[in-house]
Amino acid sequence: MNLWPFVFALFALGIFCLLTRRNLIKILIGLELLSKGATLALIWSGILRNSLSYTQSLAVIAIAIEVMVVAVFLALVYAFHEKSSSLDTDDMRRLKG
Amino acid sequence: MNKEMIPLLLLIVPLAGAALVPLLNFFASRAVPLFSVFVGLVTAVIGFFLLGQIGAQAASFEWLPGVLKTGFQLDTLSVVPALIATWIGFLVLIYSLGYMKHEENLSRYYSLTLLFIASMIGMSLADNFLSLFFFWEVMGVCSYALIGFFYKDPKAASAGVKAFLTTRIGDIGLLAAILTIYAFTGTFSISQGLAEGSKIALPLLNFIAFGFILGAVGKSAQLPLHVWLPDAMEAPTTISALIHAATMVNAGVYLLARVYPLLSLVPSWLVVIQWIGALTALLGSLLAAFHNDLKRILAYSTISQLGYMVFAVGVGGVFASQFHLFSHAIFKALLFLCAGAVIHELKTRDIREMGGLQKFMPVTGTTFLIGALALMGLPVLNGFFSKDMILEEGLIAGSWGPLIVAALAALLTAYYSLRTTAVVFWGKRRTSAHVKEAPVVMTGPLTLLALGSLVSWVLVGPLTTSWIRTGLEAPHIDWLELLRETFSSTAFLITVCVIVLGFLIFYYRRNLGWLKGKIPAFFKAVSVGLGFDILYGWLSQQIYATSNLLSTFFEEKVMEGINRATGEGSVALSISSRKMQTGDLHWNLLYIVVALLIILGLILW
Repeated sequence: MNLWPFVFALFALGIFCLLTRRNLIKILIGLELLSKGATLALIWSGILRNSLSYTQSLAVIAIAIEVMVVAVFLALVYAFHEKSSSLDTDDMRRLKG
Repeated sequence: MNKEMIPLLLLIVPLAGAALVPLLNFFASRAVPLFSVFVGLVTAVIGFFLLGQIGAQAASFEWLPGVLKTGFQLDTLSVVPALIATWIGFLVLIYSLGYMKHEENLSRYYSLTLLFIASMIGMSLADNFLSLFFFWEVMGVCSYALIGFFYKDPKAASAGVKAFLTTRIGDIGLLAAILTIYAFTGTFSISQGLAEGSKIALPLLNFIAFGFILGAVGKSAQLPLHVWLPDAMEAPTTISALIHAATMVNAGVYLLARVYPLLSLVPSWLVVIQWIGALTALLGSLLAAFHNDLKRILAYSTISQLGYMVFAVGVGGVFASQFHLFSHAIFKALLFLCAGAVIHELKTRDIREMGGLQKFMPVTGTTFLIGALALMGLPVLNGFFSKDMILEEGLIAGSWGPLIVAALAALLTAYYSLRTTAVVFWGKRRTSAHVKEAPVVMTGPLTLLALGSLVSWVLVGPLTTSWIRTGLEAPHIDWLELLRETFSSTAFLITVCVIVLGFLIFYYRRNLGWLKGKIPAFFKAVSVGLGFDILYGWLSQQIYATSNLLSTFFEEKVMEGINRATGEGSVALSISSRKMQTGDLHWNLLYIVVALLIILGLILW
């Protein structure tokens, strides 16, 4: 069995999602897809190198960090929505140089 | 007592005194003058012991192993200036008791004076060029600080700075000469340096000689650099007597005499020295003849007499120059101290406001007359013999040009000595101020110095004896021989002629009044010191303006330009790079992805 195509598919989907969607929630989902791909790559490399317990612990830490990222992201999205009652990235242009 | 330590003691006692005076000032400021006089007395007594040490081996110390071994050189040439400093210094300290009685900051005055005496001793007794230069500079600092003693007077303050800076030009030359000698002989020792000097190549020797001459010209106020000495008269008169007449200004002549073996290897420089000396003598006496400021007259007279000494070195009469140095120190200190007594009473330095003081200040008047007669070189006073000896050396050397100039200067010297004495002490009284004779602490030194002016030439015998004993060249003469030789020489004729001529000019000076209308330009030039000050002021102004321009250019254009370029460059960079910031989240994400890809690519390759 080879899980690498699956990992790359998850990555590609995530990046596609990040670059094309304009809804912030969808961008979050794209980010999640990326990190799921990363977690899967960790586990699969552990299986291939026969050091599963080590990569498993890494994966658990990665998931915990991911949760925090999601929490912060959601808080920002919520604050943005409170201010502009919109979830569209086109409304976030104040960083224009 | 270990005899080798006498010169060291002579140096340390006034140094310790200079250090203790400010301390003593904390506890008992009233005792400071007496304490200083006591230190001066101890120094003077040690000076007597030093007489027995001439020619002896003195203790020496290795300061920098292999580089500098410093000690004392005890030949007559070096001992005489040191003893002049101790003895005249002692007399001046006594005199200061009266003269400086009502001044403030006396601890500064006495401390610096003692430090000066110590450094003059150190300078003349030094056996290596480096410590000679060190004490030479310490003297310069003391001179600067004492000229500006009345620092609240802006004239005094700027005169101090002027003296310091002008002599500094000479000091650069001296240092360059010393370092060149060190570079080519590998030693700072004076005797070794002079002995090995003949091995140095001629062009380099020329440079060394030029450096020494420049140093002497600066310190002894010779022709191009004489401008500081008249201004230095802002100092207390005691200081003018000690530093600017009797001791420090002689350092240059002493230096020339000391390095004469080197100078004699380059005869062209000797001719230059003759001309410098003769022209300085003429210029000094000319300006002294037309000035009305008593102290400035004496300052120009000092310049003129120093010119004689330099001339004497130039014609090879090293002993004559030192003999005149010895005489001059005595009678010029006397003249200055007399002038101090007069100025102290009248509170003015303008001789036109004096007159008829002989009746009120008999001691001062008589001693001043003796000093003036010695200055003009009247027979049987010490100035006569030494000046005569110089003219005779000039005759022997056959350098007629400078000799005629020097004789002309002697003529003017006779004139202005008489004029000054007459205007100040004889004639009508032109002031209504209440005048009385100076106190004993002031007239005592005057009397002693006047006696010295009368009889110091008798010492010529012991001087020449010890001079020859310490390996220097001089004719051996005692005072009887000196009398016989002087009165039968050609130089005596010259001396008498110029004195008589000077006296005639003085006597018929009223009949010469028509000259003033004929050549007004000359009198105008003389009244501004022949324009040296104006020229140097203009020069230094130009230098200042140029350096100002350069520094402004550097500050405003170069440094400011760098600042502006950095600022404007970064602004331009930010303006051009801000277009990348679209504010669109997707572009930012794209940048991140591209950057990740690049990093990935870098890792994989």
